[in-house]
Amino acid sequence: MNLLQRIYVFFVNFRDYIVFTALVMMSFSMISLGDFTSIGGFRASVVTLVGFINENILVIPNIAAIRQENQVLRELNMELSNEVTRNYLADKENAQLRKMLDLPKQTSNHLVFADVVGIEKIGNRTYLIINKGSNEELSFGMTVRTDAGLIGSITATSGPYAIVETIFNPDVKISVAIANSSLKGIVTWDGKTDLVLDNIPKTIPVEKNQEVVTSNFSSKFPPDVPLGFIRSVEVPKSSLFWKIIIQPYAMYNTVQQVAVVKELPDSSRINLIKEFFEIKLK
Amino acid sequence: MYSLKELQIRNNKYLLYSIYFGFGILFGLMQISFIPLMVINDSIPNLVMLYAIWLVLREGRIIGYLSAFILGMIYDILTLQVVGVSSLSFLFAVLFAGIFYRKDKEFLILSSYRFILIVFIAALISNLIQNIFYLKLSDIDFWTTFIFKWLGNTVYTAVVATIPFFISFRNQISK
Repeated sequence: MNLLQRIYVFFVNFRDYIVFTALVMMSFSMISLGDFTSIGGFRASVVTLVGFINENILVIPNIAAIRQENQVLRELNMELSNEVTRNYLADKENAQLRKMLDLPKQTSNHLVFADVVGIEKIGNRTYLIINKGSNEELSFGMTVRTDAGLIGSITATSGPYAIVETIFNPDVKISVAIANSSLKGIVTWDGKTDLVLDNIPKTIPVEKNQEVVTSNFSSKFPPDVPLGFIRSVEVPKSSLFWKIIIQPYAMYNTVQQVAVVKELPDSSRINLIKEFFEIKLK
Repeated sequence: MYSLKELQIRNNKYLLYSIYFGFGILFGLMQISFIPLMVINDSIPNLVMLYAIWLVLREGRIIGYLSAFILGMIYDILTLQVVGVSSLSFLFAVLFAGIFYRKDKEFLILSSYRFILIVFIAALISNLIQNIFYLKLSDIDFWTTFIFKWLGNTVYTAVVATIPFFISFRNQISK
């Protein structure tokens, strides 16, 4: 047998494994290329397709989710009706004080309301599809919330739809502050249904049921968006830090409507941080 | 034993592969639209992976590997993930499932309870690989997220595998 025949025989005998190895190498190459679906309008087309299918298939209502949402809304309504009275008095007082101090009037964020038309679960990641997109001038990075609290941020848009990356994803880190205290930290998802606030020294007192909001340190989310409340405070063995478990106010699986904050992170601030670290690394 | 119509389709390879590809797209679209409605305790079955496993047991290893690669790409594109991760994980799942392929005895596997077991283990392999990729640079414990997020999907996929199993079983009996 000459060399060519040997190669041919080898290929025939091991063709399964050769094909498998070639495909594995191609998969690794595609992974190393990163997210090439974002090139051109391809991603927008996929978002439109996914949104269209979800909006037209999900005409069947998710009864369990609606029931749960109604329960949450009833409780929230009770709390809000009490709070409205308190806020009315506080607002009046605040306006008087601002006038006395000659401070400018605070403007509220511009919100766009949208319906959730689908939920995508990709392993340990959860995304929402909403029926408002770039036609409403929504774009990548905008914060998405409900009346209860933070849900996530927009990760992709097409004309009529947008995809929201929820805070229940392993890559999402949120800069937060504990309301009524100067304590700030980073919150991550615990892999189940709660959020975890780590790296707070035990010397700082932390109490249960305190409200947690987004902090002004965040370059991704606007400040003072409610996130949840402290459900439990634990001290891991031989650790100097608290492990604070936060129960989020808004859960992705019960959300039917959301509000998109039409405000993008301050790019000049992000660029300044990037430049600083680039210089420092050099 | 095939019917005349089945034989005509099987003899025309282009038509056969076009049908398989069409079903791949269909299952991909179902995965992003209909399947999320079947959620139980945050778990959903992976119809696309199940189809890739079925193909390798039905058509052999090479077709199975190529199908797993293409179906993985379809899945990643439709779910807006990094393209290649699902291809890789499906390939390893199909590599395992391919061990059980026997030429001309395909229906013996597809219509036996072993098919469900093969799907379960193959799905476990695939989900372990995906979990490794998606947890990179994350502080979340590997086993916590695997048990809470991926194991449910694995079991659910194996449960859904009973549908093709019963169809093959019924066909086997009727023949």
